[in-house]
Amino acid sequence: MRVTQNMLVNNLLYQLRLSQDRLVNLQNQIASGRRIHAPSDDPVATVKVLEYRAIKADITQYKGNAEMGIEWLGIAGNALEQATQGMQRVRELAVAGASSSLPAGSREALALEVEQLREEMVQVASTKYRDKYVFSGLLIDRPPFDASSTYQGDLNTVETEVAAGITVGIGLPGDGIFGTGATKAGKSIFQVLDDLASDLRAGNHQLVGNARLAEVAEIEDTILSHQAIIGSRMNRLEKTIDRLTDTWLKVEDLLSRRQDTDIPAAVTELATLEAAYRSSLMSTARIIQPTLLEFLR
Amino acid sequence: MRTSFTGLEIGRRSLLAYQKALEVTGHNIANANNKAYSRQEVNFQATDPYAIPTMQKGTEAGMIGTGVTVTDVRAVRDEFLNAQARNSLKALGYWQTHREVLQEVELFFNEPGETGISTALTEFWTAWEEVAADPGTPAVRWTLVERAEALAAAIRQVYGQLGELKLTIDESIRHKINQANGLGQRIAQLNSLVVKIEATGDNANDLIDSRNQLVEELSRMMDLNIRYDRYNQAQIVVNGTIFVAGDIVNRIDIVDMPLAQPVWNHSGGAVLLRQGELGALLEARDNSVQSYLDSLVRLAEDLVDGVNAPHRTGYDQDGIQGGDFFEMRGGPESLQVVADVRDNPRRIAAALEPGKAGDGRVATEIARLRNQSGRFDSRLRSVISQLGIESQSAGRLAGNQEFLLKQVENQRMAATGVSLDEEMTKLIQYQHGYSAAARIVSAVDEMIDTVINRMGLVGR
Repeated sequence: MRVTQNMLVNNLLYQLRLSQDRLVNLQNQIASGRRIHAPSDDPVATVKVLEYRAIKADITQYKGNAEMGIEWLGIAGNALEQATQGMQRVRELAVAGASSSLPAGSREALALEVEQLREEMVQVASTKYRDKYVFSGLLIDRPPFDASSTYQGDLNTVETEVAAGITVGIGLPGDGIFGTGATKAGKSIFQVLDDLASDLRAGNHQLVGNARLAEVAEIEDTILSHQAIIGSRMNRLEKTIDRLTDTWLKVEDLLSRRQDTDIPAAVTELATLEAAYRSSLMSTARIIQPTLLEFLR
Repeated sequence: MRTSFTGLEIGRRSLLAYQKALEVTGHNIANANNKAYSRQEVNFQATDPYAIPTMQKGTEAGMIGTGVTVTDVRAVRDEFLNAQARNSLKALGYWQTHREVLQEVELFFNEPGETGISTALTEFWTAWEEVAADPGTPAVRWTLVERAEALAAAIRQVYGQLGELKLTIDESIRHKINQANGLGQRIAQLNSLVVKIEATGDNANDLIDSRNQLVEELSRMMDLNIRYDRYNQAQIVVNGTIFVAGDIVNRIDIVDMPLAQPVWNHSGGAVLLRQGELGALLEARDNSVQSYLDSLVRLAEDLVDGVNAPHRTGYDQDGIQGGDFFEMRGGPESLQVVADVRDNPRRIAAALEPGKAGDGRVATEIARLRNQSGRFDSRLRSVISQLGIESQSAGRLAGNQEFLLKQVENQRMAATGVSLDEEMTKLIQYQHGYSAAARIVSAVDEMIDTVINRMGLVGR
């Protein structure tokens, strides 16, 4: 084959351009830490990166939702704990009031304490989380019970999304705990306490000992069962957070594998390319220099 | 009978021939780095021998040589390799242009960067989730409005850039067509010069080199066939229609429809260009870039239809039923958040029932749209995937064609290129020949000197 001047130059330029192209590309990958700069660098990985990013954003959001849910339920749980303690005290007072031999002054004192506890229950029912009433259903901007102790929230539950299409209820409509749902007969906690106070005051010790005490016990059960619901939901949310954290780490790993430069591999490749580039420069320099001209006198 | 001066004549012819050969060698060396140049060779031929047809021939040797002449100077060419080069060039022109256009499109989409539509879309959905979780807080609603505007702006921006790209491509098409006409004109001029020179029996080597170079420039732009008539004029046929014949050019005109459409000047029929740079530009303008514009239209429609429908069923913070969230009058360049909502985020209809401050169920429903397959995120991702694959394969094919063209060029240079070493060798060869011829002239001169000046002096 005849080899001509232009062929050497042509080959050299082609090779140099290829090497430089690869070098720049690799250098870019190392400097930016990203192996994909345009979809054409790796179309499949690009789409995966976009997917993983969306999943990460979702997970972050779901985790935030679950964390908020736990805080919300925690506040509600504390409120119910306080209510339970209050009801225990009510029961003690009711038991004391069931005695027939109580003087009027003592009965009045019992009645006053029951009334005080009733006020406490109103406070408990009006518990807020970040300025939202937790026992008002979806009507979080108004206290669950008005001045006449009528429930003014709704029966919907505030829910939070913790996975695609999966929600956990975090609000507890107060009607079912403090309101008409507190007892089977539909008497609210406030009604029961009002009746107890007036029966104590009137000295209806038999009524106090039977009907009232039974109602108090029923309310205690209602509150306890709601505490159990809160406990199980918090448990579920905590597990969800664990699972989401786990998934997040996995997705982060997958994302990193697709979008980040494998630095050791890239640096090794860079060294190899550089060696190839240098040697091609060197060999070309040697080939191009001599012509017959140099050996002619 | 021979004359005494035959030797001088042989010497003169030989000197002239070597001089000519040296000139051609010099011309070759001068053009060693001219890529379009084909090396030239001189054809030496012995001049007609001198026979002596006489009856008394007797003892003398017949057929006397009369020296040498250069019959022609011929360029070494390989039409097969030229055709190969033209084929490579039209594919290279196509794929390089295609690659450039797609790289531009990739730049506009800016994926998987942090500022592309996909990020804006993700943040938009997150903002809905936030509203769903906390519908009563104004800050959360303001954030949603900002994110929605940012998303609309991202779509508007990419759509606008792609639209401008389309117009830029149209400009390039007009420019390239003018260039092609100019090339055709110059080829036609060279054709008429070639005829004049070859008519005298000479080879129009350098003119043909120039013409080949122009034809190659032209084949980078479009698919063409080339034929030569008996006067060695190039006839260029584009897609079955003659573009250049002899010294006549059938111009390609531009019709505004309103984008440039190439038509033949003589018939007004459309010029079908599917290869070369022009083929790629037309394809990019009418199909490739257009398809990305179309997918943005569909993405914007997804947002308008998909978000507005649930939004209209919801209630805002004041208990009023929701209206549209996004609006688009015409194309995605007008996509925006409805002014009412943008100016007053209380209008965001996040609630399923009126007057419930904690109700974010419609917001949840809207946020869930992101998982719909074939719309929103999934549509965007498939567009990005298509773009990536197209751009990647265009890049690969352009790379392949670059390599192929290099191979063809090397083969052609091996056959027709100038090798300096070879020319140096020939230079020495011809130089020695020239010296030797000069020596013959001197030798004959001495012989004649002997005859004229020294003869007939016996006994003086």
